[in-house]
Amino acid sequence: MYSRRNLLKQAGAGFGMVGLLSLLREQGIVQDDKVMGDDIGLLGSRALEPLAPQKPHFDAKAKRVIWIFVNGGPSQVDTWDYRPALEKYHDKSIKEFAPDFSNTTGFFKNAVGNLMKSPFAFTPRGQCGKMVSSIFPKLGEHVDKMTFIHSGYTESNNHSPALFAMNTGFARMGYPCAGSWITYGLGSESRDLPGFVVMSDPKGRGLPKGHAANWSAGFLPGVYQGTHLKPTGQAIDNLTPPRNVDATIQRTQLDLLKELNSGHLVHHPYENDIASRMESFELAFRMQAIAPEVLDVDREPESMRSLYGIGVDRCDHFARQCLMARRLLEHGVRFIQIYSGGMENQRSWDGHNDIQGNHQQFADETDQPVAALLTDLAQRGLLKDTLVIWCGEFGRLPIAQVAAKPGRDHNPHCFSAWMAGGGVKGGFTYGESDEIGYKAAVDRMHINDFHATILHLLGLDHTRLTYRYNGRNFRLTDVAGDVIHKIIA
Amino acid sequence: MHRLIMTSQAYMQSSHAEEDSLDRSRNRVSKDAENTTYWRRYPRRLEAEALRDALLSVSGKLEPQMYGPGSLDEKMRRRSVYFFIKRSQLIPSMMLFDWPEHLVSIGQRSTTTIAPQALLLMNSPLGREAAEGLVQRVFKEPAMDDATIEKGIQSAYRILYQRLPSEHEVELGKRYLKQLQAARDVAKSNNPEASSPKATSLPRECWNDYCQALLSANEFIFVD
Repeated sequence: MYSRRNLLKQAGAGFGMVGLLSLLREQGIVQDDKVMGDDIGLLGSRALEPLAPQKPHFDAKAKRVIWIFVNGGPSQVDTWDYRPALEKYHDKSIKEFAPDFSNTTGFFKNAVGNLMKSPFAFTPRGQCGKMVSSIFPKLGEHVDKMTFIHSGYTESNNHSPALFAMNTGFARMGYPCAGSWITYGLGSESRDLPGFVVMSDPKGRGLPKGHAANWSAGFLPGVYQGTHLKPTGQAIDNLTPPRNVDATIQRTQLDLLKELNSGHLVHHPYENDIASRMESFELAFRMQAIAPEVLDVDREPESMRSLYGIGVDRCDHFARQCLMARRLLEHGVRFIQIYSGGMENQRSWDGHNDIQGNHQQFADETDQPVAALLTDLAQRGLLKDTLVIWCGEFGRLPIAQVAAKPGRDHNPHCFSAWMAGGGVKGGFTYGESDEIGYKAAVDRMHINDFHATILHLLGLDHTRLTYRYNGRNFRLTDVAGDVIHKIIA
Repeated sequence: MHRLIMTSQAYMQSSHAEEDSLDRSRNRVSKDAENTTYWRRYPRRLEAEALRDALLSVSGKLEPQMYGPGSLDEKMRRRSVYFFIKRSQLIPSMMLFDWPEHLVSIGQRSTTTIAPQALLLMNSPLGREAAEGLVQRVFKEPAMDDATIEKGIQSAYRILYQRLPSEHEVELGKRYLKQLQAARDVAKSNNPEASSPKATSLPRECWNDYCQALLSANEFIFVD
């Protein structure tokens, strides 16, 4: 326990920090005149360095996360969830198997077709013999590193709410996303780079629906929100000082700025945004010294570049992002999310029309880079404590969506995901969908369970990672969520 | 109706929420820190367009021309509402400050606070040139004597924050202008080539440095 006076003295901080301190007191991080160490150990240093590394609640299996966000909703029965019954029942009505099915289960009620078998062949891969779709020739080599989940389900059949649900646990906008919760819980291992980085489609196909709300810190302090790298050109603009300013001059400018902002903060002790904007200048100053090198994938040897598929037309863009992600992880970034695909329809995995062409294209864009990422992380000994997640916002229906070429419509009742590294079992499958892959059936996994498990792997108890807002404690998992212990190695 | 709202006591509340200014305020803070009764207003942050317009405006570089077609040129000087929107060529500085995706409507814009935004003010031509423009507006001939400094700081605060600086702020400015000059002297001795742009400790450059910090400050981007 520190007294407020001691804290300020020890930290050598100026008067402005009194404002920050009252901000934190307001949020329950600091109580009365004492800095409370709560479950997660938010001690005094936290007040002054909100991104300082924090001890987890218990021993962590994973230290960092990279989430390949399969944007648009990948079809489980065409990727990882082999459903041979669909061949048998091809072109039959889904109503025979699911009397509760309605035309509004998907998104386009006037385009409901019959059951449709996968256009892709499945073959057994790896030691475990996992049946894998032909669209993943390279990822198929890594099935023995993966835990597959076939029984995921979510709350909405519409992209934005489903994206929000998958990212924040709530289908409405305004809540902190998993990356923010984790950065809030564990801090950042890097003082020079953002703790949480997001990459979106660099091919001009737009942002995921709901935009930056997907990597927002919601009501958590703004320092915990994702830094979105610019999808094209330099990932981060303005990394070099103006031509007539050097580092010493700029440091002096920032010292002045800090004093100006501290004076201002005294009047606004309750505004998160104002305090975190102060912090953002300090991070920016440190970042410009290191980021150009970390973000430059051309510094990698040729063998590494070709492993990821840089220079290969179909996947060059995603290869660069995956390789950049590995460099960022190595430099202590805690949580990275890469979105495969842009917005909806043909711009992402949202295969309403021509599921075959759509999924083949987006698998082609990502198969080699993600496989290379797994190989590379494993070679460097990073995979054991890096959790790799492959998951989208929902699944797709096993029936055809009537279109020029048959597609598949949204399905909130079932999705597939996999995780690798970070303490999960290899070559393991958890949960089952029903016979036709329409609904999660055995060991059903709600998104709250998914989030609870991710936090658990990181050493965080999802019921204790809370933040007081609007009169109550909020969590990533709201008031639900069970850790799926069966998938943990 | 607008008059009624805008002249109401609730609307005219200050955004200040410090505990130790007035007894009354202290009471309000302790009774209702979360502001559920709206005893203070929330500071409003300038969004992408307003921030850029404000930077151009205070530096005297804003072209006030109205109407006519927009532009895709990020360096144009008209109000940001005249940026043309082309999905494949979105304006980077606007995107950085949370311009929404333009294909679909959106209920509420995101407001993010990230380091790359700070980098824009520190390092981009937009940030530096705004400071240079402001200094040109304040001075014909920038100098570093106390009287000139005092006058310069006052007029910069007037333009940027619509108020006069406190004595403490004037002293702060004096101190930092001197420090900036010292830093520039060091840079000069480190850059023996006289032609290096870093190798100048002319008063104008020191003032540019100082004003760039004022422009980056929270008081400029948040409307109280």
